[in-house]
Amino acid sequence: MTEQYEETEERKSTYAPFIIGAGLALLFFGLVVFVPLAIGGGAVVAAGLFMLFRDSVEEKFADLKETVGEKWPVDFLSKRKLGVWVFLMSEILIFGSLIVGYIFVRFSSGSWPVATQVHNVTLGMTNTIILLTSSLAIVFALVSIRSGNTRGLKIGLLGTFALGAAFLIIKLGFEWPAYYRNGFTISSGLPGSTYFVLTGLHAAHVAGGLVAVGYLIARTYQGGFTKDNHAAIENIGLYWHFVDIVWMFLFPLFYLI
Amino acid sequence: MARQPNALELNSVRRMKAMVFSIREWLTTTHHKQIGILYIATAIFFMAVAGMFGEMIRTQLTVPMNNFLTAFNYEQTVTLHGLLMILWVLTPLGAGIANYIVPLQIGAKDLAFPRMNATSYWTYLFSGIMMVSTVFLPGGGPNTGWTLYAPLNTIQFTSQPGMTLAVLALLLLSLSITMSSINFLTTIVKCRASGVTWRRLPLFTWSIVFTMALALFAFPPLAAGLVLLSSDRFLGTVFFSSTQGGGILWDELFWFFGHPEVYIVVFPALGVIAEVFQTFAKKPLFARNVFIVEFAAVAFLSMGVWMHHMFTTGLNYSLLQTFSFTTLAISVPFEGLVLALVLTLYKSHITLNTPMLYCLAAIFTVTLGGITGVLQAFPVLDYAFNGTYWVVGHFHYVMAGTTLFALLAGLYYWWPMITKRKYNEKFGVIAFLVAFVGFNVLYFPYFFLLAMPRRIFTYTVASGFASANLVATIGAYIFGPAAAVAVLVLVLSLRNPVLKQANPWEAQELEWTQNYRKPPSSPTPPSSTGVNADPPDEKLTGQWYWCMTGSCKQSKPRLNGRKKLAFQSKQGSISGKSLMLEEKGGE
Repeated sequence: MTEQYEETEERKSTYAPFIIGAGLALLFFGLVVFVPLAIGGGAVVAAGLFMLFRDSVEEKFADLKETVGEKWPVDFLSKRKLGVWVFLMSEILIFGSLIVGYIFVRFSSGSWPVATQVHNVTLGMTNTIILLTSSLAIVFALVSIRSGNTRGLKIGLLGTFALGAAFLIIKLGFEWPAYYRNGFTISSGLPGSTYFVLTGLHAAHVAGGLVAVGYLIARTYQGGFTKDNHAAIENIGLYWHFVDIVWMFLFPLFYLI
Repeated sequence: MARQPNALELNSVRRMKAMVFSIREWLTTTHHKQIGILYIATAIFFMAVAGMFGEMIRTQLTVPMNNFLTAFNYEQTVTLHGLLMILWVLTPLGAGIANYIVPLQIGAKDLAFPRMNATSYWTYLFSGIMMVSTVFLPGGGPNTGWTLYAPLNTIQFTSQPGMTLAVLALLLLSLSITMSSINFLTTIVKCRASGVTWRRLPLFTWSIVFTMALALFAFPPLAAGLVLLSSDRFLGTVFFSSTQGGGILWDELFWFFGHPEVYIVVFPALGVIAEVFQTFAKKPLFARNVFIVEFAAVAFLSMGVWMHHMFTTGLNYSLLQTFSFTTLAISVPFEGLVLALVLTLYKSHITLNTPMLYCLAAIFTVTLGGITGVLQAFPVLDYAFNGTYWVVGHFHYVMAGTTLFALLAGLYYWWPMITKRKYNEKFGVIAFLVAFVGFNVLYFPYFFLLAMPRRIFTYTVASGFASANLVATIGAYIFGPAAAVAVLVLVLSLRNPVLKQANPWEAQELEWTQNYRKPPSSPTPPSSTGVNADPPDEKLTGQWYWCMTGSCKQSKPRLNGRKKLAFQSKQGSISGKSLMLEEKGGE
C-alpha cells in the first residue's frame, strides 16, 4: 500500500533554457547599451529555439502517455492544451490591459482624429479577411490530419503561412509607410502612439505565430504528424485563432470608430 | 514512526553529492527539485544584495543631515531595494519552495512543462543580474522608487540608460513569472496522483494555486504597462509624458499588478504557516474547507482593491467609497485566514522549534501589519498617512515580517527533506530570537514617524525624526546580520551527518509520507476474497485531511477542554523550553 514514487528514470537535461535566458538578457542589454550586442542576443535566442526544435524532432521530451491520476475538472484536455489555454489567458490580459489603456487615453483626450480619415479602411478590411481566411486554413489542416490526409495538412499549413505573411506584408509594407507619409507616426501624439503600439504588438504576435507555423511545416515535411499524433497543430492553431480574435477587436477600435 | 531510508534513497544521496559540483548538471537540469534549489539559492543571493541596499538606506538615515549617500545614490538605493526585495527575492523564494514541494505534495513526477520551468528560472536569474547591473551603467540605475511613477519614468526625467535597462529587466521577469504561473496551474490541475483530489490537496499547494492564479492575472497588466513604457523610452511614443495618459494611466496599470502582487508574496507564506502549524501542533488545520474558501475570496477581492493606492490622485467620491469598501471587505476573509491558523494552535500540543517560532512571529507581524494597513482603507486616514513612514512600517511588517519569516520557516521546515540533514536547533532559535528583536526595533519606530515623508534622503535636527531613526538603524544592524546567520545555520548544516529518518518531524503531509494511492490502472491481482486490493479512500493515510475524519494514526489523542489542561499542567510542558527538550528526547 505504501508505494514509493522515487525517480528511477534518467533525468532529462538540455542547455536550451539557459541559452534562451542568456540570449534574452543579451538582447535587452544590447538594446540599451550597444545595439550590435542585441543582434547577437537575438541570434542566441534563435539558437536556443532551434535546440528546442531539435529536441522535439528527436522526441526527447515527448511524454505521450498521460499520467494516471486526478484531473477533474479538465479530464478531456491534454496537459499541453491546457497549458496553451492558460497561456492565452495571460495574453488576453496583456491585450485587455492595452485596449483598456487605449480607451482610457481616448476618453481623457478631448479630441481624437476621425478614424476613417486617418486609417486606410480598405487595407484594414483586406487584412481582416486575410487573417480570418488563415484561421480557416489552419482548421483545414487540422481536419485533414485527423483523417490522415497529409497532403491536406501541407496545403492548410502552407496556406496559413502564406496568408499570415501576406497580412504582415500589407501592414508593414503598404499601410504603415503610407501613414508615415501622411504624418501619422508613432511619435505624433497619442492617436499614433496607441495605434502603432497596439497593432505593432499584434503584428509581433502574428510574426511569432508564423515562426510556430513554420515549425509545424518543418515537422510535417519530416513526417512528424500522423492521424493519432498531431496535438501540436491544434495547440498552435489555438494560438493562431487567438491572434486572429485580437485583430477582430483592434480593427473596429482603430479603423471604424 | 521513523522510516529507514531504502537503498534507492541512499543511492540518490550519493548521486546528489556527485551532482552538486557538476556545473553542467546545474546548467542543463530540467528537474523540479534542482530548479527549486537554484531558485532558493538565487533568491537568497538577491536577498543579500537587496539587504545591503537596505542597510545603506538605514545608514544614511541614522542621524540628521547625514551625507553617507548623495541624494541620487539614495534614490537608486531605495528603488533597487524595493524592486529586488519584492520581485526578485520574496516572489521567487515562494516559487522556489513551491518548485521543490508542490510536485511532491501532489504526487507528480515533475512539473507539467520541465523545460519551461528551467526557462522561467534562467530568465529570472538573468533579469535579476540585469537589474543589479543598472547601477554600474553610466548615469546610474533607476531612481524613481519601486513604483516607477509616471512621468518620472519617462526619458525627460530619467534619461539614464540604467532606467531603460531596469524596465526591460522587469519585462523579462514578468515573462518568467507568467511562465511559472502557466506551469504550476497546469501541473496542479493535470498532474495530481490518484487520490489527491481537490478536497485533499495539501494546503501549501492550495496556496500556490491561488498565488499562481493571481500571478497570471497580475503580471500581464504590468507587462502591458512596461511595453508602453519601453515604447515611450525607445520609440518616442507619448503614453506617460502626455497629460491624457500620464501618471494616472501608469498608476492604473501598475497598481492593478501591484496590489495582487502583495498577495502573490503573502499567499505562499500563509501556506507554509499552515503546513508548519499542522505538523508542530500535531493536528489538522482548524476549519480547513473554510480556510480554502477564504483563500479564494482574498484572491478574488485582491483584484478589486488596487485604487486604494491612488486615493490621493483625485479620484471621484464614488470611486473612493467603492475602493474603501472593497479594501475593508478583503480584510474579512484575510482575518479569517489568520484566525484559522491561530485556532489551529488552540489547545494543541505545540513543539516549539525554529520553523514554528518563525511562523508564530509571522502571525504576530501579519496582525500588526494588517491592522496598520486596514486603517488606510479609510480615505480620510489615507490622506493623513499617505507617503509617510507609517506606510513604510505597515508594508515592511507584512513583507519583511510575515513573508520573510514564514518563507524562512518553510526553508527550515523542509530543509531535512531537501538536504537530508538537520540544522542546529539551538543556533536556529538564537538566530530567530535576535532577528525577531532586531526586526521590531527596526520597524516599530516607523509607526511613530507619522510626519516623516518616505522619500526624503535626509532630515533636519528640528524635524524631531532623529531619535526614532537612530533606533531603527540600530534595529537594522541587528536584523540584517541575524537574517544572514539564520541562512548560515542552514548552510552550515550541510556538514552534518545524513539523517536516519526520512521524516524527522513526523509530519503527516504527502511530501513527507509519499503515501499516494496506487494508480487504479496498475494491475492489481484480485485477492482471494474477491475484494479489490486498492485501498478504499477512507483508509488512505498520510494526509492531514484524513486526520480530520479521525482515521489518522499518528495524531495525539484529542483531549477536550478541562481534561487537556489538566494533562498539560501535569506534564508541565507548556513552556517552550521543556517542549524542545521533549522533542530532542524524542529523537
